[in-house]
Amino acid sequence: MKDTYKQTETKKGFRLTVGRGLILALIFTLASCDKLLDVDSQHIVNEENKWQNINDARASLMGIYGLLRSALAQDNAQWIYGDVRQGDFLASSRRDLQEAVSGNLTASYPLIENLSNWRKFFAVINAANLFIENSGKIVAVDQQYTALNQRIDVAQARALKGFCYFLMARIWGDVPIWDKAYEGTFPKVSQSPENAVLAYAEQELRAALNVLPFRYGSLTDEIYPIEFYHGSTFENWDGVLFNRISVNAILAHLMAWSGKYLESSVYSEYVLANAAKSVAGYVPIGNLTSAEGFFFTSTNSQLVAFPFKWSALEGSFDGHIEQLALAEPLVPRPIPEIYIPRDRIVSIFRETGDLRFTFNSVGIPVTSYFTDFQSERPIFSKIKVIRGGSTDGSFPMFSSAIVFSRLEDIALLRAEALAVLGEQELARGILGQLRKNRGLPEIAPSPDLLDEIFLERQRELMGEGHRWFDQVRYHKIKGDDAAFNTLITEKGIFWPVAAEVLAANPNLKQNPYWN
Amino acid sequence: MKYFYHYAVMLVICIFSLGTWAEAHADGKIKMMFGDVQSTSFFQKDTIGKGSPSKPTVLSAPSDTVGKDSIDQSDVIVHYNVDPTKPHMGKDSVYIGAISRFPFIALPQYLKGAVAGLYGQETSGEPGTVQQAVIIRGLSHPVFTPYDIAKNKPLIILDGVPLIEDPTLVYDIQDYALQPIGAATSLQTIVDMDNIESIKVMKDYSTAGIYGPRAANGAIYITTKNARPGNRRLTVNAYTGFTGTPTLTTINAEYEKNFRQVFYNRYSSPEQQDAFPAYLSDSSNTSFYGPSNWTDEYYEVTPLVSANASLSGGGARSNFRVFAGHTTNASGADDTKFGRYQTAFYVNMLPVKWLTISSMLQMSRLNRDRNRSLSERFAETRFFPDMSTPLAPNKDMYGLFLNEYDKVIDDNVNNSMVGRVMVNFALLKNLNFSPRFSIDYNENKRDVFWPSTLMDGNNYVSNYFGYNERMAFDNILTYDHRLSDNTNLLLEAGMNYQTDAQKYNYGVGYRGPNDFIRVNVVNGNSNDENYLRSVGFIPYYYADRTYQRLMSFYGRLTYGKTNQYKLAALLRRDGSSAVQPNSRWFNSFNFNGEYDFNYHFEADFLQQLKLTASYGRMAIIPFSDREAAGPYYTSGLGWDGNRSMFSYNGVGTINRPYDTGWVGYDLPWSYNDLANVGLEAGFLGKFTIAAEYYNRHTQDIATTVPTVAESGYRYEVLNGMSVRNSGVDLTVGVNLPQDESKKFGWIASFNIAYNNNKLTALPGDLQEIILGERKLIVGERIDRFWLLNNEGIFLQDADVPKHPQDGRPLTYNGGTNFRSGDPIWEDVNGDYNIDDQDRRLMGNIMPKYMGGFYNQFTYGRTDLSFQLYFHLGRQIINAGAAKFFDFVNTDEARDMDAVRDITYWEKNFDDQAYPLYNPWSAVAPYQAEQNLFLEDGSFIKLRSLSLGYDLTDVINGSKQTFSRFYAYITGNNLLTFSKYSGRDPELVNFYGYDNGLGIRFPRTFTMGVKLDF
Repeated sequence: MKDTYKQTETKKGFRLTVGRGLILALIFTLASCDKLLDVDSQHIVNEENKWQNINDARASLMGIYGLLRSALAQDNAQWIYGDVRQGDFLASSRRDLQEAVSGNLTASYPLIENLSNWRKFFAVINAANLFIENSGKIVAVDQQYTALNQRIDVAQARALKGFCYFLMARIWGDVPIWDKAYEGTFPKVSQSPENAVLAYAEQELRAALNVLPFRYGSLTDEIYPIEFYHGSTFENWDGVLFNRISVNAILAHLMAWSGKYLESSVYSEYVLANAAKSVAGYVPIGNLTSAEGFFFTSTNSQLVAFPFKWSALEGSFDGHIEQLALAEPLVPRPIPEIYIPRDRIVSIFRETGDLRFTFNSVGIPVTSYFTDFQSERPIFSKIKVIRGGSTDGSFPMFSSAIVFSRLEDIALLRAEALAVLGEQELARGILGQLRKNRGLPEIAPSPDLLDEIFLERQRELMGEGHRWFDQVRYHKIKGDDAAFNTLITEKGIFWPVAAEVLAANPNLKQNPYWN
Repeated sequence: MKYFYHYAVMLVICIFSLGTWAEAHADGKIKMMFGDVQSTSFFQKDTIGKGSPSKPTVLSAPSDTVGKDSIDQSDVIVHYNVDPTKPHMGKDSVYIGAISRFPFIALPQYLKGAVAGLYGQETSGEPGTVQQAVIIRGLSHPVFTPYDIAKNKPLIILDGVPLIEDPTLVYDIQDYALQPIGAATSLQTIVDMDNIESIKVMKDYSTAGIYGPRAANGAIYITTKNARPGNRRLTVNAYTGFTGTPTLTTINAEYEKNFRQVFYNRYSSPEQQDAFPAYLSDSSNTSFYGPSNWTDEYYEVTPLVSANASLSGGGARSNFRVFAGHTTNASGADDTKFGRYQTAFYVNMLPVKWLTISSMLQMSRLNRDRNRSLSERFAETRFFPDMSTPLAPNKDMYGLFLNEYDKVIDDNVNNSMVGRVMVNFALLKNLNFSPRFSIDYNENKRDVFWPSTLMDGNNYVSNYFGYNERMAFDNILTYDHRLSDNTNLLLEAGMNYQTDAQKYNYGVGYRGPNDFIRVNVVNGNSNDENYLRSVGFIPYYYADRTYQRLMSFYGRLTYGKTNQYKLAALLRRDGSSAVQPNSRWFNSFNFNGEYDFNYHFEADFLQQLKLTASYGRMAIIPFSDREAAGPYYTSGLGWDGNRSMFSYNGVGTINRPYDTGWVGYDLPWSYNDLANVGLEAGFLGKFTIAAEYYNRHTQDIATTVPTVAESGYRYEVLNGMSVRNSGVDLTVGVNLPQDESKKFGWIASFNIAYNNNKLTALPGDLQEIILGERKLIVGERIDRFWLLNNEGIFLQDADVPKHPQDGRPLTYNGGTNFRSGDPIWEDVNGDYNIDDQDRRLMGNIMPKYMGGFYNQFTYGRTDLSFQLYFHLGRQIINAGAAKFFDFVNTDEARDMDAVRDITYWEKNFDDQAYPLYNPWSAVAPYQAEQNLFLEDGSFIKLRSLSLGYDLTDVINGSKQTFSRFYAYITGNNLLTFSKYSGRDPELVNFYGYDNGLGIRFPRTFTMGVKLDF
């Protein structure tokens, strides 16, 4: 052993030098090691790096819209809340849909439980609150982001928040109100009564009302004339963002839902009078039901809408009414999951000449709303945006926009308000115009005007998520259906609150109707 | 790949230049100069299996058997590659001899039943699948998602290189996590069994502590066979064999019709009768009503082949070893196969006497032919065609379906490279400085094309490329001092820096123009507005990457006296980029000692009676980089059913992680406190017994907790969960070597481990949380099912109990009344409503007892060995049976639940064992989450049997061609004893459900030879 080491001793000096050098080098590298551990994640953004420039503002603002679109699309919420629940549709075989159709909203199916959960809307509200609280920081650091731009963006965030509260008040009635983001220290807020929620929604919407432009990215806009809004012209923003018309339309709905028809008529009148400023108009029937028409192309005629932009790869299998309503021969599925029975279709479209559905002179149905009418389950194909507007359904991916409101809706809402307020003639005039657009004659003065207005809503807005809420408003006005009156007074018109939501917040109370 | 080229070039230069130089100087007698010259002889000696049954060593037990790294021969042998940490590797080694003859390809297969306290799970017999895991001493984190499995895995170390695993971040964009996107091949298959010298299992921090936070769940250290000086030595190993086909009961539509008819007769409405599936209505349809012989096409006798050779040689100043091998493995089911090419190079040099350089490079290429199940295909495509008619059980029809696979592209390739360069400077006689560089780089590629004929007229293409790279830099200083009273002091100081990069790109294309264009080609014209957009397909692109760094400093002091006592202390400080900056560094420690009482007794019958103890604390590496940022923003807008949504109107969005949970500040490191007490005894030189008690308390685990829905977040990520694992590992060994007449020899090793876990705390002052189908309660195990207690059936409406006050009948989830034909579930809280509050914790997923029993008998030149392997005290949810009974929901579903694979036509449950509930009832009578489907999953398996004969003398005759010629035959997976009614109690996913998706383990038979020239 020792011999070996003796052999090496001659080179010991050199060896030690090498060793010391290496150790010194090591020490120098260690000095900076804490810095080595600062690695910015590539798939997330931390709070420090957020709110730095105009891109952050744009991405965050679009995030709010995107979350709201997700909230309405997941579990096909928009249509199950609006069309499937006790509406015109029947469910063919899925029992969860059947329960929704019959209004048995405590039935134990994942779909029903998910739809009872309001978290998805509160995600939108949290994102909006964060934007409202933080976007001002960007103005200070990025000159591109002007104070006016930020003011308009914040107004959108507030409008989105108000819209969410309105939607929730329609669905659940009493809902907790969160007006800030409460980062991390989440309070357990109890529910506010329905009217307080609606008042809060109104306040947020009204805050946006006089700030928003009619059109984004248009030099001719009288409020915010600018060529590029967040980098794009109106071509990219029409039908995508909430503008002044959108907010008025939502407020018209909100007021009608609250029974304040005078205010509703004011807001709806503003929409009708100023629609041209945002280039919004009525939709011809051909465009409405075309695969590449109204529900495919974003325009400001979609007053409040959430697109799934096909060219940006936002099409999806899930989250469109087509997923529920289409079947063979349009898409490869033997039967539609929801359908309107033939006799019901005939009773709804009872007038001849209706461009949406009618029997021609030899008794053959002529329709742009339905396919395969003669089959046991006619296919509701009014909305059928397959992929990029194709008629070939073999690959059932869809890109139809979720449209909450269009001009026809607001016109009918105005007619409804006027009818309630006793302005029969004005109401009749509006209704007549809309009926004419769909090939129907002037209505005779005798029938109940309100019934006619709601019938037209049923026909025109079929499958757009309105039917259930229209029925509630109708019965609130009429008050002659005892069963429905009970439903209204006992809050049975609302959905139950999901057990998961109740479990996480002991201050919440289940809607007594569903207890 | 750049590292690969640099390294390969360097190696080639090394081999040729220094190799020739050194051979000229090969006669020098040089001693090795590492710290372990003294320490190995002085401390715990290695127990290393040699892969040869004729030279048996004792398994998993202390002994004086000295391995090849013995110092006794060190006067003539230079070991450049010796790892100074080796004396600290502990006693838990896998007996390589017991497994090297079997056609195993993956680490969990090598380790099943081999070491006490080590749990190996394969959820499918599909060879090479990533759905397998090894877990040491129980679950430290509850398992709800694929992410959680990664949190429980130990560190795998290959020749000192801490291996990197595939990232879990691919699951972020997946709607169905049956398999991760990409090749989904286990990286634990990169090492050929024949190239392994030893496998050590490090269960506590006296051994694993040196490897830091990545080894918090323990470590498995694989040492491959290295270069050694001496004459050129050629070794050849080869085997060939085949998989058997299973015997099983197939069913056809007639069976299913009869099965369903009972329900239809009793419960169905006219509309429900109208909805009777068409494929069951027409009994003249021979595809469904004919013979159910799909198994002829599904199961096939498939060959297994493996061959490898190694060459080693060189002199004392420089030596080398080269290994190359190829293995094909198969399950014999659904045409699943696995192929591996592996090469390894080892070069050791001593250019000057105070400097040693050793290097290692191992490269593997893995190919996998994956299964053809509908489930996994649709889980990837997320596109569900009409599935109201399942695949027909008839061979001809199924054959037509399989013919379409001629058009399929499904290439799954992994390339792996593990390399290491180690330099040692002998600064002083006892002072060594050793810098090292290690790299583990692997690529994961998958190319898929499924033709339109398989996808309802729409074809599908996807391409995945991902890589994982870990570079590690070590600097270790060791000082080894022998004191005059024959005691020894070893001081080590080290720093370690690891940098990880993981990245993937994934492109998906739907509906290409035809089935001849199978590549997602992009537009190459940069002036075109569709530049780089797919031509023909509807494309979706995804990419993600993550970087992580870990910095460590440590010092260790070991003091002891040969065969009497040892004391050691380890202190370390680790910093990770994945922990929030204000708590980035964590101090870990370990103290351990051992004392051999036999030093005093000096009893002849006793070789040792050693008491060992250790106590330590170790930080646990965070598995994702998300928590480090605190409150963060991310791009996902997706929802369940449509995960991959990232933009609004084409503008990329950024939001808080509402779906995955709020992350706040103050998330520190989580850590393990681990105490260990053990007793090791050896008697008469033949028997050993080792028992060890452990208590591992995992603390400050960050976990998702359901939070106030009004926050918008589904969960909050909070720290403060704690899990205690305690148990006993017991190993008994027998080693009766062949006597002088070389007649009879017996080696046996029996191990059994008891493990129990307990949730000791939840974040804040929570006492319980509900996550999905599971519930965690403080004081209970973390792996229990949360089920309704089934008590029969309501035969008539009058049997349904009514609330005594208002007369309301018993309801389900508050809404649905129970009726006749519904199950009676225990109303635990007596509120006349069955809901989640009536679910109770039942059963457990992880076995309470597990172990193995290995025996090897030798008689003359013949040897016979077998291994038994068991899990006891664990339960399984027979979800396959639940799905068969729940045919109503399967018929109605449009998503994953609707998929019926060809294996649907196999009967693997007892249809008489379940009550006939009304399957249309809204109370979900056949939900899997009830104890009706909970079964005892205990089993004992005769896992392997082998018979070998040493032919060396016979073949050699007078010539000395072979130094060894050994031939053997084996059988695998031979017998299973279990009460479980399903196919195989091992074919269960990580969540305790047998959903029927796993492929059966094949019964295999092989014959092989092991030759040393």
